[in-house]
Amino acid sequence: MPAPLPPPGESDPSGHRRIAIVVALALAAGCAWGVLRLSQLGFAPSEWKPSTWVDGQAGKEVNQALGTLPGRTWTARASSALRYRLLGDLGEQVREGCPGWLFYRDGLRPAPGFSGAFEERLKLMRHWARQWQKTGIRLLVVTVPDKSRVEAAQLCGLRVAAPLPGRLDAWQGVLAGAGLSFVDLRPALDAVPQAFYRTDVHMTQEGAEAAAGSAAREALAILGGKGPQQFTSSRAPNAEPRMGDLIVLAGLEHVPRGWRPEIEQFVPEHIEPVRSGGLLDEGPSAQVLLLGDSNGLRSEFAERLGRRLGREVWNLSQDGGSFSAAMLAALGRLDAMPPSLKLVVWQFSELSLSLPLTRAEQLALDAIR
Amino acid sequence: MLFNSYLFLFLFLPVALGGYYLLGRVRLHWAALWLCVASFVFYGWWNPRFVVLLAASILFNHAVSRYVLQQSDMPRRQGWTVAFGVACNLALLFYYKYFVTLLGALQAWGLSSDRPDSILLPLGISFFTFTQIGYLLDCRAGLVQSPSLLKHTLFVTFFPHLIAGPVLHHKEMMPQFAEPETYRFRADNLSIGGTLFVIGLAKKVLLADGIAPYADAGFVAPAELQFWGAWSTSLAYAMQLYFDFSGYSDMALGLAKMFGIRFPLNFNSPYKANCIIDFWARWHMTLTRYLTAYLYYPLAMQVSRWRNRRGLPVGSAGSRTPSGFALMIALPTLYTMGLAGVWHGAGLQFAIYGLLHGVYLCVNHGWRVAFAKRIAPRHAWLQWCWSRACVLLTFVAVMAAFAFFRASNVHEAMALLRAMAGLQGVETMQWPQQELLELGGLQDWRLLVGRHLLAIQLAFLLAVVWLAPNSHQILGYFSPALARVQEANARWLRWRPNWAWLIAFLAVLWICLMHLHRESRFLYFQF
Repeated sequence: MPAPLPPPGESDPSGHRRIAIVVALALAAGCAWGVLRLSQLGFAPSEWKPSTWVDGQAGKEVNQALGTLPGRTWTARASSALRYRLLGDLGEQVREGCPGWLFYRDGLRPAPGFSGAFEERLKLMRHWARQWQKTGIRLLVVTVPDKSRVEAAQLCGLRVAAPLPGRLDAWQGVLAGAGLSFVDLRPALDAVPQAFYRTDVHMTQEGAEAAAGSAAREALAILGGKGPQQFTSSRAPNAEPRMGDLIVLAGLEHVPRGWRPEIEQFVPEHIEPVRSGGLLDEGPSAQVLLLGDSNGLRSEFAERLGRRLGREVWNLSQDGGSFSAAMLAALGRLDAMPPSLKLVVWQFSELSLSLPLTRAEQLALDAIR
Repeated sequence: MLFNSYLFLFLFLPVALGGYYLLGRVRLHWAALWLCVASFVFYGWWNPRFVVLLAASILFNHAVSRYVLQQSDMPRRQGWTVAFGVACNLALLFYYKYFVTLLGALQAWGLSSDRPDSILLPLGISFFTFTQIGYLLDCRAGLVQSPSLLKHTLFVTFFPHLIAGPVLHHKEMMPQFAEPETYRFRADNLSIGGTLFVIGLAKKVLLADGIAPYADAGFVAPAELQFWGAWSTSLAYAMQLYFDFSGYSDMALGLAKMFGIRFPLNFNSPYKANCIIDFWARWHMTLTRYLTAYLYYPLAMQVSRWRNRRGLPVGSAGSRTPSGFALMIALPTLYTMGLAGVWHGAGLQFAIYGLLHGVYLCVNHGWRVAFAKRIAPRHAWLQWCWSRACVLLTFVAVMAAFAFFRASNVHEAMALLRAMAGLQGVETMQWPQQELLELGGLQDWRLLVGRHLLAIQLAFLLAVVWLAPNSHQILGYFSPALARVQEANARWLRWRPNWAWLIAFLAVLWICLMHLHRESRFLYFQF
């Protein structure tokens, strides 16, 4: 079938040549960049296995390496700043409630692929609880309520999707029904003037202190009273700026003031156990293990809990650990747990209950089916 | 490999294109062979195991086609051979697409105790299988003259259409592959093809991927949606699907043009359609053409012959009688659209999607037969209102059907439709929110806009689909599509190979490259 001819005078061979040269140059430049990046790409021998190519992992890494274009970071930053300044858009993962109050989108609406995840996590929870029970170690579940729940007054009309408000009650209802120990942190956090950082998903120092106090009351009942360990705490003389992780997530970490929400000030605090000072002082063996997500690593939550318990807390919390990363890691070495261990505090964020199952969780679920 | 990946743009495309034109200067066969090898690499990059499947499918169909052509003087045997070939192709498709669902259904009905393992669906299997079924049928119809394994392989594997179409006809491609001029470098191939590719890339990366999170979020839990949420979800998905798939088609046509090949048009502003018949003449046009040629017409012809033998009226006279309409229009339409729905995937929701469109088409045909001439408005302003109302009604009907196309199951699709009908409640509109009003000033404006980004995006995308010319209208006379479309009305929107368009091309390419790290698959890859 012949190509439709352009009308007389409309076809410009030199114009086509000019654009073709530019397209060819763009392709050649892209190719040169691709070859350069490939030559700089250091694959470990294990990554050259056929399986890594078949499952697409190697291809993904190659593509990522090719995509680190010069100027991309700057462009992304400028684009984020401009979108925030002009449209109040903080990207796909962050939303702004009242001015300056940022919320994680996964806390406001269920994530794609969440269907059935809640019920499957219930199965996992029951199974893991039985595993700890067999070892004679008690399990205490501490679910950190979502920031959108505790700081609801700062939502300024932002909606929380329908299935989410009932999620925490449903979860704790099942825990109660299964006879498991758990802590409802809501009353304690509600009593704090600001339990969460304005630009962060984590609890403030006051929030962490209140949460640790609430968890400690339940834990002490299990442990049979406070231990002898003493703690000292020190506070920095001046407040420091604190870059909230939601600002980072919105891509606004390195943009000038005025082009991002105002960052917060906080006074760093350091809490540590008092050592007796002996040469071989290693402290008593761990009785309490904290398996948490990033909340377990922020605002000295583990140290605050330890101070309340009079025991040093063995903290295996993981950044980005979500519902189960720390739990799965601990279960992987269940046989190697010290005999002194009496209590496992399993802490995670409420929003992780409605995220899709991770691959590790799916495998764990498959294993118990 | 995805068109919207750095790997494709920085390594695959320059090497494939450069090698093609260099070898084309030496020997045409080498260039064709090079393109086949490049296409296999393109396909195998996703999962090398399925290259064997693709190659086996091509070899099998080529062998069958040769046998069919050898038996041109024995129509009966030829018919059985084609039937065997088509059945084998359908069996392959059935195994990968429907077998697990069937086992699951049997297990649910208590007829099987085996728990079905999932089977990885080979990318593009529907497209390359349909292409080859069409090829076998063309062989029987005498449309194929000289079978060549190399050209057959090139026809099937040519990477711009391999994964998600357009669905090609042998007769429109083979002459192009046979033409020596195709393998010779021409500047306009690169300028026009490159421009169309970048337009498609922008549709995918900037428009479809931008609205996708809203559609995905809404379809997470349709039962929880209320009126406005359901409508915005449905609209967001309609926009995502259109810009995703038409973007892919533009990229495919642009890439093919860069290699000197012209593909048929696959999208022609479908949301501007003023009825469902018009919609299917504009949406995934090559699939519509395929289904019409190989499913609709054969059945409609059989029915007409049957009625003819009995002395019953056929053609437009026959379709005015209830029985004639039922047999000559409704039956082939529902049969074709039902199969078209099932082609998209296993699951009752896909069958409903197809049948719903079948019903729409029947209603549309019935309207044309019974009322269209009597009710057509006469005044110009009434005609204008009438035509806009028709476009809107068609668009809403299409959106309602998309609920079944996108939802995980019928239950969720029905939940979305219930919410769209307001049966799951209506959100209380707070416009603007009292809390935000109290803030005042620029901050107030920014927060308000931030809260309603989806509405702003949807308004923008609707303006694009309803008011702007499509990519082929922009390219106008230069469009590489085999079918011509009307050129854009506004002169400044007509593409010309000049500096202004070159600068626009570079700017859009640069913006796309900066956003390409969010690499996402095309929606139609799942089919």
